[in-house]
Amino acid sequence: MFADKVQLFDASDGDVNNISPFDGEQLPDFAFEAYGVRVHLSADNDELLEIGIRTAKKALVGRLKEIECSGRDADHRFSVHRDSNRGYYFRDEGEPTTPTPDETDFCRLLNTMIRIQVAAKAKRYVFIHSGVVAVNGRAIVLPGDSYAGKTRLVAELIRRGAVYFSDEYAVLDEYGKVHPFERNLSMRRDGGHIPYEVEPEDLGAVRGKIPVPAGMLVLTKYEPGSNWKPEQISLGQAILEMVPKAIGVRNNPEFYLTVLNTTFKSATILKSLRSEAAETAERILEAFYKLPVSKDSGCIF
Amino acid sequence: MNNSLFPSARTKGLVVQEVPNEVLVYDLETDKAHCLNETAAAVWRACDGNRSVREIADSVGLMLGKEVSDDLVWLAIDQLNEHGLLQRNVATKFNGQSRREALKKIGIASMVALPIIASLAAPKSVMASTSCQCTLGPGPSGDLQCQAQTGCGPTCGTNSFCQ
Repeated sequence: MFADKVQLFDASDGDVNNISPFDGEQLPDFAFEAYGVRVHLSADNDELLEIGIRTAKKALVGRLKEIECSGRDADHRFSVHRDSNRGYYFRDEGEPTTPTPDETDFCRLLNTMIRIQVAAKAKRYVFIHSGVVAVNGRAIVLPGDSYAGKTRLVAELIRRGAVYFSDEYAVLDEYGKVHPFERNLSMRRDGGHIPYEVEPEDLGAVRGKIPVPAGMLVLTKYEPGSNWKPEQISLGQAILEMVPKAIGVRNNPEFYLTVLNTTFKSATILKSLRSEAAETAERILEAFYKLPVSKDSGCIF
Repeated sequence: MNNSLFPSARTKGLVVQEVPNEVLVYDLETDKAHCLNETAAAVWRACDGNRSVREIADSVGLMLGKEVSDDLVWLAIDQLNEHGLLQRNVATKFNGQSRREALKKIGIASMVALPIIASLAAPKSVMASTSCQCTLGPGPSGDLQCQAQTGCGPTCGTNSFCQ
């Protein structure tokens, strides 16, 4: 598990950059595959590598498998470092982050970047920035940007009995199924930027385990004082609205459009502004329970 | 033959996805997605470089089963121009009217839905999708990372979060 040579790659053109301060050193490394993406992780020492591996497993909700892969053959490369004066930092395709003395902050940032880079380069999967729950074997997908209140809405839905799938990504496959990405919920206090984790079980929820078809797509945005007045919009409009939330769409737009079409062609699509999450969750579930029961529905955990 | 009077739909550098009553078009050059409603899509398809506006109107009328005016086709062409979906720009003919005025006039008279093209850009980079975190740390670069993220604070703090 040692890298013969750490090679930095210029993210702009993929060429090997030979200015690595670690050139020629034997560094511990680890390679894994997640969602079809081969990631190479190296570190200054075993202790840092363990931190990197632990963070990667958490970032990808355990959905990674160790593989034999050199840095050169990987789809993406991270390296983990600690500077004795400035603290922890990592390199993402050779680009160093700002060091931080706080291991928790460091791990949070590495977690985010591993998750995003895998989502962006995923093969055979589409990642949409979205909250997801499931009811009666069908997914309710709630696309939204950061700070759009996805997690709060998801939390209110699972408090009301929905199965927890994700507060971050809707992971869609080519057959139109929605996969769980059931990391702990990342909540923020009012006005705060730094998240804290909440286990869905603490909200009385269970985590989804198997992929399900989409039953409802809800395009909603928090606006204080607004009323929940859902309108049905067309599939084309809905897909268009999801494009800015589609992490890797630029890498493979044809696949993304096809998968979004396949996934949501039979789903009910609603759009509305919303105010408080609790009331909105009630309205969404009311609308959902009025949908005809799908033959695809089944046990999902 | 003045080619600008025989509009031709762009075909290269586009990903086209058919959905019921609409067409989604992803422009690989601009990384923008467009949603063409049925009327806009019908006009776009009829722009084969061999048909005049009058002939496009007839063709679209046949496709939609209703009479289509030249003005309605011009309205679609105006939007196709704007979104870069024609091989070359065509000078539109609203006789000095703004698009809004033309819309009003055509909308009242038209038997078919007005052509509409909606567009949105794909995320500029994976950084646009982070959860208010900034890997580049305090300073102009980190601040730019923050400003690229919707709903986050504009300044990158020492804890690598946008504040």
